[in-house]
Amino acid sequence: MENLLIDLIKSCGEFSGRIERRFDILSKEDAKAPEAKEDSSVMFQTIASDVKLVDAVFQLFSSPTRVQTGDQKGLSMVWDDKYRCFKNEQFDKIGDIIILGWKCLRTMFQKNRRAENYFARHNEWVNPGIIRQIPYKVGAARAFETLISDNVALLEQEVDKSIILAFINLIKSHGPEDRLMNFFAAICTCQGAPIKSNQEACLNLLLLN
Amino acid sequence: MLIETFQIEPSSRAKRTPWKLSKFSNNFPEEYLGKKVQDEGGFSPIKVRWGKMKTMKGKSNGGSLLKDDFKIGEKQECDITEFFKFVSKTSSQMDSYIFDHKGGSVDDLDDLSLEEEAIRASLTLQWEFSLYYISQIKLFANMCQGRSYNCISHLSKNFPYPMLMHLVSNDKLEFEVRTAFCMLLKNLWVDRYPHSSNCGRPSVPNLVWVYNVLEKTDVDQEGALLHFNLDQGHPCLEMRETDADFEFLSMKSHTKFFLLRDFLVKFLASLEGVQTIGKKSKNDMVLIILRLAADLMSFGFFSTRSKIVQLCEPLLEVLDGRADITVELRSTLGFLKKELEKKRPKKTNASPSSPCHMVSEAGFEMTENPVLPAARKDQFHSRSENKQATCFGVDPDLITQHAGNMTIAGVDAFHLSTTGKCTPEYLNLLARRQIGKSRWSVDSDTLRIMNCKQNMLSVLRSVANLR
Repeated sequence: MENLLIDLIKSCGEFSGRIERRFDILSKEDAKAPEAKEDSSVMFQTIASDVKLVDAVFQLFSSPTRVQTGDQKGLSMVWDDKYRCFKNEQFDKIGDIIILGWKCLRTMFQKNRRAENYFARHNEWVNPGIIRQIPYKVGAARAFETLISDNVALLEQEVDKSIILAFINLIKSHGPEDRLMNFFAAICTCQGAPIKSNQEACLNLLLLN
Repeated sequence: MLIETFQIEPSSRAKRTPWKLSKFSNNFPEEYLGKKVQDEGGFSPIKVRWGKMKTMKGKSNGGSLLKDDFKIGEKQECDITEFFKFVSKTSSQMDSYIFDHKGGSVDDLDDLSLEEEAIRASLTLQWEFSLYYISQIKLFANMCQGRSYNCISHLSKNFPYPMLMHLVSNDKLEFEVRTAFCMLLKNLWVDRYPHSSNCGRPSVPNLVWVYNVLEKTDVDQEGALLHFNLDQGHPCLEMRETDADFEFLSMKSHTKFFLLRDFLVKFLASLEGVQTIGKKSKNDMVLIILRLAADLMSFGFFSTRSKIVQLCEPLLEVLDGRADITVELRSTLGFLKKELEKKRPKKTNASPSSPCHMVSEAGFEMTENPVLPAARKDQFHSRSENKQATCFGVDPDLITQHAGNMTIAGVDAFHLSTTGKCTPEYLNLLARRQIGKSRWSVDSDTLRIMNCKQNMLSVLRSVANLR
């Protein structure tokens, strides 16, 4: 645990240097074209992608499920169904931190098309990355919904049969949960417009099969 | 993994539920969807079945893999009102309910006998199932959105129009449930071929047709608007899969959606011009009702002046917004109303939902009542007082922008073509107030109300486009 925290602090130090450099570049760009000045939150999201802070946060908070599936690295945690959080013997608060981490990750790409695309570009982050944590109520489902909810390109390109089947299997293995069913509703439309390919896929996989 | 909805054939006519006409309709028309059901005595009872949901892991059963089907109290199907009994409860409310049922307190959570544990698991499972089923209905609605005909074709067999009408008009169901079924009704039966916007007339930004000869039609005449007729031999009629499809496609009358129109007007009138900020599920229902109304209006199913006025009168009452109150205020008013009833058992002429009447009749002075926040004082003014005192400090640019929007919305045209009761200036004034509200209050409940008002304007826009 200590090693992990030390690594994290070291990483933060490294990030701070990168962030500082990125700030310099952005402020010079803004000075050249003030009309194109980005909103501060968008700027932070851009920086988080540029300096690969998103990568670090994702790797850290997807660790519980990576351990369970036998991947390298990650903390040893077990899911406590009674208290609905991950537990670690050495670190009591890890469950809260994981939940906070998913919130943090969601904030890093919320309403920012570029940041959303950056996240979705890493195929293994969505499936199995996020999908594995969706059964546990830590915020992964909400992060995924945020990622795809208003991005037509992502809905059409990234949501495919394998992801739909993964959600169907989640319902089959974890029982009927409305938040899992909401995923299917979310991929069928985007800001009121239908996504025909996903509607047809849902029809075929959920109703006709 | 899906829950089924189905109708059962009742053993006697008494178990059917006939459609009750609202005060806005005198009698049933000759032709409308659902006439056959009404002639048979009414809607059949609706049940929900989850028997096919096998081999899933039930959390409420301690995470063990179930070998059999899911059962709720040894049942695999039940009546729909019973099924949705707990849908509006939160998890903590469910715990309270369970322990009320048991006769103990919530602190006894870890001290349950096997039998009590089974009851708890069963009730929790029912609650989870009902939430899951609402999501499933919303999924079906989204699958049909945008006239996705493969999905419509499949789902229309499982959800016939009369069944959905029975569900959306069933007061025993929670608003959340009815909202989901309203969404499905809209996308499955209303927004589909052969109906099209503006009675099928092209409009900006689409191609505009130029007519050389215009014939003036009397808007008081039934059928003044265009109808969607499919001639005999039309491929859709030839390729129909069920009798319901044939009835739907071949019906030419503008009274096709009589039941739905009757329900919409009745529902909007039941609001009595008041929306409650914070009543999430009811406001969501209002929103989807308005979208349905906009569609019906645009497709020409409000076909005469009197029908349009019937819809627009309650709509304008709600659009006004000065009578809108918060949940807290409504509960306080409920208390005041009870006090009033205790004091005066004799029935008065005051409108039961009008805050100003209730307060003045009760004899309470707002400033002296510590329960009510002073900021809400203005809501207790009468409408006429409020109209004069409307000064909300709104950004002038916003007013100009909104005045433009109102003109685009065709409210002037609406005014000229209907009652003449509200002047355009008055409507502008009301709308400005709404915009002003949204500027300063950005919580989700207020935004939900604002969304409703915007949709009311879109209904009015549909009226204007019918000219």
